[in-house]
Amino acid sequence: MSSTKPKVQPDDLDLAFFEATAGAGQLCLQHCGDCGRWTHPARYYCPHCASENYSFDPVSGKAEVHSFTVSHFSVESAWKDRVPYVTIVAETAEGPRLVARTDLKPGDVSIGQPILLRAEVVDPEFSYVWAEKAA
Amino acid sequence: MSSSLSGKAAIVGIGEFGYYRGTDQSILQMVLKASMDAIRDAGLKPSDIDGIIPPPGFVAWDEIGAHLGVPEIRYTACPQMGGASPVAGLINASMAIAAGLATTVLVPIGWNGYSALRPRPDARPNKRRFSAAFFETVKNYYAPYGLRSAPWWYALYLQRYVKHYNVPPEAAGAIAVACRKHAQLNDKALMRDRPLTMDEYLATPFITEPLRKGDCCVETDCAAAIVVTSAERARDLAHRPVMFLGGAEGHPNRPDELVNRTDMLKLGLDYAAPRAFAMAGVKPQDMDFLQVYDCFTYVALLELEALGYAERGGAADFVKDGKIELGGRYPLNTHGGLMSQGHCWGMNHIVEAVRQLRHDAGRAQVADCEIGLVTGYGDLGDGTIAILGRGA
Ligand SMILES: [Zn+2]
Repeated sequence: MSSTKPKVQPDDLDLAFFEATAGAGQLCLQHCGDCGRWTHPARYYCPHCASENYSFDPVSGKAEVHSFTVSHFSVESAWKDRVPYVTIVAETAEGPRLVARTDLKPGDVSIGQPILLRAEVVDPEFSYVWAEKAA
Repeated sequence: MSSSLSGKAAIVGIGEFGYYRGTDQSILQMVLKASMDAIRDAGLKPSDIDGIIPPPGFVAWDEIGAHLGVPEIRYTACPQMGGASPVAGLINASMAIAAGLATTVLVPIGWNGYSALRPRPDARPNKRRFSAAFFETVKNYYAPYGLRSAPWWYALYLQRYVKHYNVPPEAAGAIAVACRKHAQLNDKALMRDRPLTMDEYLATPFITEPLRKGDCCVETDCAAAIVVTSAERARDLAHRPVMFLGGAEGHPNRPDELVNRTDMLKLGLDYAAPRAFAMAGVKPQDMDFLQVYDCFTYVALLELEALGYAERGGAADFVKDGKIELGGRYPLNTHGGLMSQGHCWGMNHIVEAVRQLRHDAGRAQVADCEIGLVTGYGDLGDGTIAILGRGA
């Protein structure tokens, strides 16, 4: 199943994040060239060491559920037929947290649970982050 | 007085318009009506105003001044923090007055919170728009995931609050029930004549967990305004002044997104509250009432914790047994709040605090109150607080 592109027009480092992920075909995050720590959303100065050196590099996809919500109501055409749908705040093994969609059912998600993240490249300017049950 | 700003300025005029579901008035008209009411309430004329702090969107200081006929504007500033902006405006006005940059400052706000999404078929379309910096984050990282507006964004951290601390829905329900009870005493409350029981609250459907319909405030078309002047000038005006005793703003680290904060539950108010109490030289236990920004019940619970009324996760005990209802130790949102009077960006909380401290709150009066607080919460967790006292 492939997703349609939502209404997004990212620019600056948000665009760089999406382009890097589309280019690599997998989830890439901003990686500091000096202290080696990871940041999302990407910033022009590393929040840990103020460095301006960075690259967007692939991450392991290992993550855990930091929080989540179960939506029972939506007025959006892309979502209203999917209720109840789960949206996850995923904490990556590399550190940053990302909002991710998932096909997991409401009863199958709990805080602290390990998950696997992958990117679905929708177009060069947008990828979805998906969360799946860790093997 | 522990700070040079404490006690230097006072709120001397209040105005409110609306809390309607559908109106023929434009946003500008509503803001102007509330503003003129606030100026007249103070016993002043537009020519007495020399500072304007406009809302963070929809209408601007220059058109407000021009329509009201303010001849000379000496000071403007525009705090941009959503529902934390009105209290920030009060702090900013007090600062400008204490610094001698302005003598009398108007702080208005208003919007068509109901009609914007549900225009009458025959209504002229609203062309006023609102924007905020964090909309970029929302557009790229939240909205594509079915998280379209505030309930869905805030649910991302509120669900962690509920799950991690086992916060029962009855705690949130206590906020909803108290606000609804107080709205029955307010002729300007949207939900007057519509009482709410805990069972009725619990039966409202989930929007996005943990938020039920009964946890969400009511959107209305409305405007409200205050007039702030120096403590000296305030003595000669129409009403007993309401003194600015302390205030502060605070912001989550980082303010432009929700999920990468070290502690997702640490609000701007967590940073701001201790500074405001220190400025005023008082403690949370000194307050006679609490007007707490209640866009969502669970946000209000976290704010009560940030204010120091409970440990993290402990607000559920604090709100039990009528303690936050009129007649209890800490009456909360005695006008009905955003939950039951209507969403006026929290300016209605400041207006109500002024009525209380004037001892002009009618059936909702907290007997003999001398001091109380107002909080603001906006955008992705910005927080503001003002501590107000009954003047001489
Ligand atoms: Zn670094």
